[in-house]
Amino acid sequence: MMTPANPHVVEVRQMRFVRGKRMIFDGVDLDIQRGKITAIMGPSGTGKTTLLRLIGGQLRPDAGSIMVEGQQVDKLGHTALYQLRKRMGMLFQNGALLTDMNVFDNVAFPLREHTKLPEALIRDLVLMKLHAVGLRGAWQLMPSELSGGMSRRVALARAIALDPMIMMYDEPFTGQDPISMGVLVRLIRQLNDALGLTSVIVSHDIAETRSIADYIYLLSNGKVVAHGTSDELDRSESEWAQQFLKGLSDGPVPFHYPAEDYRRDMLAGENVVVSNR
Amino acid sequence: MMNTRTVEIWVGIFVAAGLAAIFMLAMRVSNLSAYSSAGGFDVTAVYEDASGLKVRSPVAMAGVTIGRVTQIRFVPLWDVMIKDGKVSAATKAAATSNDKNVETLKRAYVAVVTLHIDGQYDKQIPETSDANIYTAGLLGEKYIGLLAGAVTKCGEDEELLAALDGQKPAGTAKDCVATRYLTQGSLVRKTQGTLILEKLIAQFIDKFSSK
Amino acid sequence: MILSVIQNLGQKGLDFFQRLGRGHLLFVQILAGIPGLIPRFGLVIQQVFSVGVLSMVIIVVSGLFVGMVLGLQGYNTLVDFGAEESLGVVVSLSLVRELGPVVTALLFAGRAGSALTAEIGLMKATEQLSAMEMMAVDPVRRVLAPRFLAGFISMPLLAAIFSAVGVLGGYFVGVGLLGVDEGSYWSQMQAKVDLYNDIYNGVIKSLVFGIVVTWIALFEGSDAIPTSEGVSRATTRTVVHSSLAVLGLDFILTALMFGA
Repeated sequence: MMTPANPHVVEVRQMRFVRGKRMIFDGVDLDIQRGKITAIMGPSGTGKTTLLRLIGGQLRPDAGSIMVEGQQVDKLGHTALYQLRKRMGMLFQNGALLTDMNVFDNVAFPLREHTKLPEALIRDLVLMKLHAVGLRGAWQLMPSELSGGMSRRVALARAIALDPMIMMYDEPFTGQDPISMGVLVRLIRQLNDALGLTSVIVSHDIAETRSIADYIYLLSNGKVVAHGTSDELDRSESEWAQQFLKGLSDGPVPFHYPAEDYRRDMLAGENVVVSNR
Repeated sequence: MMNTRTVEIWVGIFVAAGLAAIFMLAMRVSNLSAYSSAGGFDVTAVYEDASGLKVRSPVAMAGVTIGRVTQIRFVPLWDVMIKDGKVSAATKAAATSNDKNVETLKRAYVAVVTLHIDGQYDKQIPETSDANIYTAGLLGEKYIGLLAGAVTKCGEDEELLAALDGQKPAGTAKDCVATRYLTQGSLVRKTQGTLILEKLIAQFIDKFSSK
Repeated sequence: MILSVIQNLGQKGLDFFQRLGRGHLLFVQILAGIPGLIPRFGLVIQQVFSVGVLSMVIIVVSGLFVGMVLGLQGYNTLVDFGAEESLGVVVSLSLVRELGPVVTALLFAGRAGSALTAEIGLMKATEQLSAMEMMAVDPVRRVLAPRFLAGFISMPLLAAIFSAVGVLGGYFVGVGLLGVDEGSYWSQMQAKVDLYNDIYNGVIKSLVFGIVVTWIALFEGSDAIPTSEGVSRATTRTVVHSSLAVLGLDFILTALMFGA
């Protein structure tokens, strides 16, 4: 807690990140406000998950800086980075539960790794966390016996086991039925407010995300296209933002993947295919 | 996932089985028992030719392995003689001069073999024993065979008779040397090096042609 | 055309060196993680179970059969020279020096190595390793190092079991079925097999194989492309590469130990 007065938990400045030959981020500026739920939205393939990994220090940017709680993540050494990560929780898209342990041991995992608490206390803590996500009764199931939504809730319980100050959600709503989606939306909001967390949600599920996000960033082509509260975005002039938020099939983002002229492609026959090879 | 206890028991069984297997290989399969007893003593033997002999070759007596070769070195005969006390102080002094014999001795190299013999045979084998290099079988490896030497040099008969009569021996002769037995640092004097077939044939042809 | 071939070759070469470098860096990281395992030896025991104990059945069965075949073949060859008394020597020396460590390592690569690669590769594909990192748990220390140590511990034990069972298998065939004298079987063996030269060197071989096979398996797993196809390829590579490494190293080690 170096600068608790700083309203921004995460500050990303002019960040560039290249993977292979592809520019994923090209000068991104982002601020994550303390105690709020910030959503980062954009179409698939814009590197939203990559952004979370950059904040978590699993990847390093090629230029620019990422500050978390006043520390520059990409400059931290191994030990300092791992210390910082103890205060971050991340919910992976598929839960990423350790498949060789049951639900209880999964939630207990970070506690056992990082604390020397007696087993009785760990048990109480684990059951509390599981209760918070409504799965206290499922503690002895193996990950393979859980549904997708349940896995995610267990992973959420595990992510908050160490009482982090920032929670990152990677596509929490993808592939969920409406009921588990509703459960997750409620949980994210409740946990954020009850535990005084700062939450970052990466998603392309517009309705659900807009219903809980305090602030939204729209990413496309490696840049922040628009940002603001949900209402502010509705009034955004960006055509792209309008297309994305309304889910229109054609607009600034073309329906077709870039290709050669359709007519010529059809007439060229096999020769084109061979020469492409 | 099995519970921790079962896993640990199985790992215990596994490690025990593995160690038992190593133990069996060491005890039952290899020759560990041949030099298991700690202790033992080193004696040296000098050979003109020790070809074929290797470090860890067996030393046998009456077919029983009683030790192993631990070292084979190549030194001037002169050094061996000094160590053995065969060279008197006067000769040693003379050695500084250009005595031709001394020069020859210094130039003549021999193989000095150190034998490590099991502790239970300490002071049991007469120093007069032979230590010859033999070949096990027709194509087998070389080993050193010890052949027990005489036990006493003098007064043997008197001693024996006196023992039979239940009397004390009638005093040993003045010059009678008590038998010495091989012990740490002893030197075996009666040795016969490797017989090399080519050399034997050459000798034979030599004799034959000179006749 | 030629240019692209050269370019392709250069690319392949660079990729090769990159993988080689990554593999060695991983090796160093794993070694650095081993001291941290001392207070948490339970993790290693868990892995000795899945790496060692679960490989025991295949090792015992193959050891028995290899020993029996050696007994039969050795007898048929030796009997022509009237030297069937030396059967024990033939069986035990072939097992202790060569077949024990080598066949065990090959079976280990197939049984435990491929399992390790698949496990690590799938952990990577399902983001379990990433999740650990984000929980501030170093997967190299928590996941790879215990498995490595378990492979290192298990391999010589498995090789010794293989050899011992093989010697017994040769005994069953030679003494039990073919009528070789029991006393000669054991005594000739004891006369010719040397503790240091043969058994000790055999154990060293299997330690080296244990390190190499486990290392390759762990590296291929953690380096796998996180898709089902990537994991399956990595598993294949583990078996192929570690088998080749074992056979090549066996030649080098044999030359160092028994040669000259």
